[in-house]
Amino acid sequence: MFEPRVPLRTAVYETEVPFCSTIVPQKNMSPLTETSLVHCRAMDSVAVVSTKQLDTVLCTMNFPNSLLEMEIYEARIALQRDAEELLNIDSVVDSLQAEIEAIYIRVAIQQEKRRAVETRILENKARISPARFLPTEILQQIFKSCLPNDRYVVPHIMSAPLLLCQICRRWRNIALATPELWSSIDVHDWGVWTADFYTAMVTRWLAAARNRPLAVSVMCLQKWDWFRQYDPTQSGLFRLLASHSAQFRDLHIQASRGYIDAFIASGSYAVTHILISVMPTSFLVNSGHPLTLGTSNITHVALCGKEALIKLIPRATFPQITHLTLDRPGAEIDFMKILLDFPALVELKVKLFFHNENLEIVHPPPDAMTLKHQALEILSIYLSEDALQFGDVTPLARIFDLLSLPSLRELAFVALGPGWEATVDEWLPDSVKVLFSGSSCSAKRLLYRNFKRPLDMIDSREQLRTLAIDLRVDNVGFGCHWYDIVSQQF
Amino acid sequence: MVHLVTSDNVEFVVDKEVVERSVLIKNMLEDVGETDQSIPLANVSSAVLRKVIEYCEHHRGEPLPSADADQNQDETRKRTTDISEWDQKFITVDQEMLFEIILAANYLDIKSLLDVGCKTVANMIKGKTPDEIRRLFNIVNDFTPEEEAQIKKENEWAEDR
Repeated sequence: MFEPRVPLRTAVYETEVPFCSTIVPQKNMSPLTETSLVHCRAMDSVAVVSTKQLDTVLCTMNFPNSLLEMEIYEARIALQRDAEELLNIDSVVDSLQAEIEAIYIRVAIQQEKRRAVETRILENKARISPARFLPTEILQQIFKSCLPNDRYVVPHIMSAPLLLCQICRRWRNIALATPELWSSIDVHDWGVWTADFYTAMVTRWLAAARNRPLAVSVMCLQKWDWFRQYDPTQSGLFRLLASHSAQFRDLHIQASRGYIDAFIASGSYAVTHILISVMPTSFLVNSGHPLTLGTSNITHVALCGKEALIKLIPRATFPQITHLTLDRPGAEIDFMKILLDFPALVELKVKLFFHNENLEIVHPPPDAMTLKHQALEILSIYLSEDALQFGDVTPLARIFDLLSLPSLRELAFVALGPGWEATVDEWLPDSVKVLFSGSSCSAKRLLYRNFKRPLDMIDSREQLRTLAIDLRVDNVGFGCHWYDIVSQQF
Repeated sequence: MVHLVTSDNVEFVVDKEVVERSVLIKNMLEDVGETDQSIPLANVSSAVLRKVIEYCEHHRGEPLPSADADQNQDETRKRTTDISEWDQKFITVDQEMLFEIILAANYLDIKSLLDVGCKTVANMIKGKTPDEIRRLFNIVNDFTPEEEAQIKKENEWAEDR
């Protein structure tokens, strides 16, 4: 340990009693009491000297004759003594600081050594790390589990797959050589503000997907459209996506009609799942006539927005479509026609609006015949706020009376807002029981979401249970966004 | 009952229904038929096999995942990392054991156990920075300065977001 060793340059004197009291002449005592002891202290050593020794040290022995002279004399002595003590302290401080600097240097050297050892430890730990011995196929499986659960992966450098490319060379190579990691992407088109390096990232992403089928979400908000004073096909990102369109199996496009028309016209598609959401207005010129998607494999369709016309889907594919979602304000829902046009439909979701004092549905003619649809298993009816507040179930009940759905296993009424005071009693016509009675399913479910329970819930449940119908009423406490409506079916 | 001998020469006697969750052993037993002979598992230590048997015991009788289940999962892009409560507790082991279980599940062809292991590792990766991941798994950053620069350049787009 550091112990300062300071040479004794001078003595520091201190009487046992306050110095000033010792200089007061008293009877039978010399001015400096013979018996008083003076402590000579130099840092950590203490020497005790007599007044005779003190005289020797002071050199001059001219003792003052008056009290004033004595005081001046003593003050000089004190000043000289303190000055010397100060010098001594400074010297010790200098010495200590030098020691501290030396210690700092020694600490820095040790820290450097520590870092080197840590690096060696890390390297050697890495050599025996279990992660190193994982076969490539297992690492690939782990990587796939790292992907976000979102249907369309939003690129982010702190999440897979981009994160995995930043760990080490092996992980990067494996990630880039695993096309499944890159087969889904959520792309935003910011019009003229789409930065080149964003397009470059999407280019690398799609290249890493190789020939894998792609799930792609493209969003171009209306506000970006306004600044696009040119044909969207002039955009690098747009062209990039169009060039991969043949790989798209699952496409979600949310944009203006003009953008969607250009998108459909620019690519060749083999999608099985499509979700088209048309923004209400656009600054781009519409093509005039709705285009039809050139695809033959489609099975899942979701159309959102007034301008999301069913004509976007090739009519020849209607018989193979199993899942259909319609969320089209201002467009009347023709249940009978839908079921006729889509014979393979397994799940149908429709959102009902209220307009001109009526639910926006097409009423069947009085002489309408019963329509049998063999495939439909799930029918979900989403109700807008207006439909709930002002509409009623009567026109729906009339339609239910005309339907025969032998495969029906679930009928759901969903209030899109949790606080809309929807009550089951108002939306539970006897026609529901009739509709279910035509089903040969052993387990049937009648679901009311975001509805208040009926007053006689137990009785209602018991009545329905005798018909093998499981009544469920819940209030999930949150509203349903249109995207939730369509995404569940995919 | 089936006799299994581990790499450290420990013999386990396990119920056939339990051990047949391993496709490897199931196929072996189908090939050789009923036998009292021990099956050597050269790649599995006794500590790991004990855990594997514990897993198989718990999931005894559950349907085995079909061969095309993985394909279907990929098609629907179901990437949930949800793990049942029991499995989560079961797989709460030190990192070395975790990787040993994964390797054993891969070797013995127990798909559901392999899934649980891979999802657990994935959950450990999620939400961490590259440095944290390296420290967690003792991985050396072996990128050259040029490669580092390339990665930085590739990530430039994110700075704009």
